[in-house]
Amino acid sequence: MPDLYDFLMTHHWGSSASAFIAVFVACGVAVGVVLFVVGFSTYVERKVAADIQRRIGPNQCNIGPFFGELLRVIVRNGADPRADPLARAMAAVCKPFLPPLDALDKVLSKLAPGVLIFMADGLKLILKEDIIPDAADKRLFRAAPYIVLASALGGLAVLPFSDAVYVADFNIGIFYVAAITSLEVLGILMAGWASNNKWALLGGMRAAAQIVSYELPVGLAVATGILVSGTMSMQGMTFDQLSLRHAGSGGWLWQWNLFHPAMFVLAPAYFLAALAECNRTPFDIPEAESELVAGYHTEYSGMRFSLFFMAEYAMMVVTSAVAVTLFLGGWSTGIGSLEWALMAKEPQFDAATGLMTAPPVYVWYGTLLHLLAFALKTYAMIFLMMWIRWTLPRFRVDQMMALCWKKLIPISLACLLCTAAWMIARMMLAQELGAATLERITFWLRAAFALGVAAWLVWYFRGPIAPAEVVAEEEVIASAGSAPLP
Amino acid sequence: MFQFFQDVYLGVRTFLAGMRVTGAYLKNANLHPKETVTTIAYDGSTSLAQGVKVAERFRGHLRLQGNNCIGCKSCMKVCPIDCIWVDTEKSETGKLHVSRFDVDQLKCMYCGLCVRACPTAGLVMTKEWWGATFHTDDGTNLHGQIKHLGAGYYTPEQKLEIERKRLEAAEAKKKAAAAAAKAAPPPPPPAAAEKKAEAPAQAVPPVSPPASPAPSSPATPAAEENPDKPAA
Repeated sequence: MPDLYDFLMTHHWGSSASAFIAVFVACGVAVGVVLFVVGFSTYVERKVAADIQRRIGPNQCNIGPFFGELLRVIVRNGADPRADPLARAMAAVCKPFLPPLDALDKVLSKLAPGVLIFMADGLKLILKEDIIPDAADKRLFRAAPYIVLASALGGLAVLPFSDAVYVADFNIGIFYVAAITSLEVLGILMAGWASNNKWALLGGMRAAAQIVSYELPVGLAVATGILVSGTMSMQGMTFDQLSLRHAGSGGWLWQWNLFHPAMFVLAPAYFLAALAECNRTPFDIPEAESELVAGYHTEYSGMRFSLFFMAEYAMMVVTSAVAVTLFLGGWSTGIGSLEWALMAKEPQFDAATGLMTAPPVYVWYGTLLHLLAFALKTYAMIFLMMWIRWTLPRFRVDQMMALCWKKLIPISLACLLCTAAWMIARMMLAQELGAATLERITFWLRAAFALGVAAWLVWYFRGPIAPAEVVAEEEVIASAGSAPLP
Repeated sequence: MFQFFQDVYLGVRTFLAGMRVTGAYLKNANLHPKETVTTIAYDGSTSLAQGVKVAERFRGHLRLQGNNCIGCKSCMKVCPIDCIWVDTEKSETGKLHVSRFDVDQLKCMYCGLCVRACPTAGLVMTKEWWGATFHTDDGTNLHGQIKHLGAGYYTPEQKLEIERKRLEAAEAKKKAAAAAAKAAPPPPPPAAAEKKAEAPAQAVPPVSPPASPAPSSPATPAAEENPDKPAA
């Protein structure tokens, strides 16, 4: 389907400069939105951490004390009889913004107290002194954060935010994401080496080992997803999970890849591997605060450090989005009737093979709803990552390696084999039973499976739990010792 | 082989157990049997007038109450940080008069030793704690002022000026005493000259703020020996 890339390349531009500008604007919008989300995520992380730790978290940085006071000072200055025309003009411009700002502050300080803390943190980091160690390799030291951030943000180019909202839809989309996010190893090694610091070097080496090792479970999970969905393109995977076979069918929640038996086993494996890719606890040995000071970014201060930090959160966003596309149906809402209701132009199917030849086109509010669905699902994954961070203690480096090579990779390989075998078995079953019957059986089996999983989740996390149950759960954890890890 | 699956099962089981506990915490449930306190947000109140409750024995800012200060300087001597400076002077009628009572609330550590040392219960600790200002020399709520005793608050320059004057007076007195000792026949009791020589030495230490209290402690036994000397 034509995407921004095709549009830019086939449109007759007046000059190549305007083509470049158009591309930069598109990428700029994507990067800007994601970096804002990244900053906001630091606030959410601190609030989630505070909730789990029974404290309050940031609650002082609201809009009123900063921007409200600033506007009030400007308005007061302009009202002074001795004010010059510029001051009066500024006051006149600012005055109409005061009532809506006050209203917004009132709402926001109840809903998200202290939300501006991420802007305050950003400002503080920008204003910090830029310290570069004397004996450090200056060029590598300076370049490293940008390589890490660039590789993390590079994955944004193929993410399917909605059916009509994406930067590009490569036919090898998911392969591209896996490739570009593995470039961050280079940046981390550069940071560790160029810092001229033994602990930073150790942190960099550990990070490289960790990220490179965990590329394998990620790649195998992605390969299984490609097998199941039959395409490497991200939009293609989403449409496959919609399962629009004929008019009025498909689009249901249990048709997502998550409820395919092999993918259900692989989803936690992919998620753990994604945590390791982001250097998130429990896999944050490279930046272990209590062990290596700050690992490979020990010597970085101010904005350089915040670039690494942003790269970590940007990787969280990218891997969550990939997980949503692989397992959770991308931008699909999960309600089949709603999906069909939102279509402006229905998909065309080939009479002989039953494959979709032309994708559906959705109405404008359908596209927005899909965007909202994608954003909510991605944020649920990010929230899950934060929840896990404040639940599990950090792995030792040998435990982390053993988990990857001795547990995750065998599981991923087995699932890949099983999926391949199951696809062949399916083909044979389809010949026996007929395609339609098979479709109906799998539809209802998956629906039952999804219902069972949802019911169990709701029951298990039915909080609050009694103190006696807390003790019981802690006993389970304690009796396992450090098992299953060495 | 079985060990592998048991490990995987244990991994998943313990992970879910942990997530369940923290998940319940996320919903702000009351949980752990050992848990007794949670964090309460400070509501930003700045004084008792806003209705906040403090403990009965709470130690806040210092305050002199009534006319109870007799100028004994016990609080000054006992303060471990030397944040209290008391100056007394003899008026014409011979009555002792507290000319300065400075408490540097920025240095005060609210230990309450000065309150315990005060013999007349003139120095008390209030229950006010809010001392944040934008400038450190915002004096009104940080330094004790004893206007009702007719005393004043000296600026640092005035303190230095008074100290300089007192040093000069002490020097002059010493010179005069030495000259008188030379001119006049040697006075029979050498103790009189010693007493006179000690008096200026005693005048100097108590009024020099930058000097540590060490000089004043050897002076205090001397002050007790000579209670009717005008210097102490």
